[in-house]
Amino acid sequence: MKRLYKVVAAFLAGALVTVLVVRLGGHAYSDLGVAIQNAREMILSDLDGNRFCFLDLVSSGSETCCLFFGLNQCYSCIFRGMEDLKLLQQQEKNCFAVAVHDNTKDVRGWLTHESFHPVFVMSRHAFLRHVSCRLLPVIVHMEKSRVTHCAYPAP
Amino acid sequence: MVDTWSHDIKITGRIGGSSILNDGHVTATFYGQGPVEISSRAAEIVCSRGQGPDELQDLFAVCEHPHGLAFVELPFRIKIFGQDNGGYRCRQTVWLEKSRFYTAVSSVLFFRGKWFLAGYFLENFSRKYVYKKVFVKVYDAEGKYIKGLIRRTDHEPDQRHLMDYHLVNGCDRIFFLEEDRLRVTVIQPENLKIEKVVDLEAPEEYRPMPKDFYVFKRYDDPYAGIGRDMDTWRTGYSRILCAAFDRGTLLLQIRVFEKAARFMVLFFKEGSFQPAGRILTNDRLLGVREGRFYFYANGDPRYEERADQCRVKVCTLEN
Repeated sequence: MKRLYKVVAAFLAGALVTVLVVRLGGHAYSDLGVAIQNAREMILSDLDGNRFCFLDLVSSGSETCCLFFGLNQCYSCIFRGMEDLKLLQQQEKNCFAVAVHDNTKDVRGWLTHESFHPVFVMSRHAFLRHVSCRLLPVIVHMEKSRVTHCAYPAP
Repeated sequence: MVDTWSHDIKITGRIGGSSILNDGHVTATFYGQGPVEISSRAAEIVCSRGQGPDELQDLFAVCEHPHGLAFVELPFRIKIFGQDNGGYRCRQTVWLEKSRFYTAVSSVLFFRGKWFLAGYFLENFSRKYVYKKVFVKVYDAEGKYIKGLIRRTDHEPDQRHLMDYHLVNGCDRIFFLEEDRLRVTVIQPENLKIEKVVDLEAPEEYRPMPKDFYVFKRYDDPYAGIGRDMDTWRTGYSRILCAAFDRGTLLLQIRVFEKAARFMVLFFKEGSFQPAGRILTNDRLLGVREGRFYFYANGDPRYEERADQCRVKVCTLEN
């Protein structure tokens, strides 16, 4: 019986340590397949080339929704993602999109006929370094700099 | 045979599209390797793969443009490359008006200030199984959408986006063909109307594809399954491999299964589209210009043996 107590105590201690690491650590994990690591070092730029830290764009109070997409990915899915963000914007949520691409001029051209804004640019290298997800496009929902859940928009 | 161009460049990918340029050079796209310009002097890769200004991220179709070569890089983006100091540089980018539904471009043509794109363009679909499609889209030179031609509505999902579609410059007309049937649609480029649709006479050697081939299927292993089906169709049936127009004749190359040869080039007179001859060959037609036929020796590098060496045969026909 004592041995069983020991096993249970060890298990609870391990779970406690895991929770503390996730809560107090510098990165946030989601159970849904999206992870953002070292968000403080994630640098985005707007279409004029001004640089921002990703965490500065995430509101500290309300929920933030961020759409990550690549220019050569399924446009129907991106379109749906942007429409979803527009609806969330109407609910006064903080929403923005991030194009994963190396050339800001290309992104500006791609957005010629788009009505959604703001859109930021992130290099492919930075994306691979900081974000892990199953596929793009993906809408990441965050609260207080922490990923709460994600959605893969489909047409 | 007029000439043979042999070059030490190994080609392994399937031939996507090809065209004969004004200067008599050949541009062909090979899957996995990108666009290659072949001349009597050299065979050079036009641009490498990437997101840089002079690179291509993807490649759907290519055509000649007054300023150089136009590549459909993304479904809504055309990059025009021109020659500078011997190498190709991107001179202009045209962003096409986007459509929110699925788009697959297979062929492109710049004709009298308009972009003609052939492919599979889903216009709308509903959960009640109504799929509205258009197969030719026309844009102005700046990329503004003008009109969609050749519409079809189906009530079941399909895989026709995997097909090849051909657009041929017929001097004052544009010809549209689908790879799975010998049927030509004549388009008037000025008023963007369909003039007529003609079913071409099939030769005895023609082996039609199964009608249910492009019906939507669920594969256990999607990548391997669909790849196997594509290879079966491309090597097992008489699909249209190349379409060209020269001196009042429409030329189509189809695959046949004769002992003597793997391919057949069919000739059709413009206007009536009556058969005007045929030739059997083991080489893959790349294009025709001013009576000269340009063949890639030994067939398609992906499917045929001994076709991985870059060798282009330039021929003329007697009679």
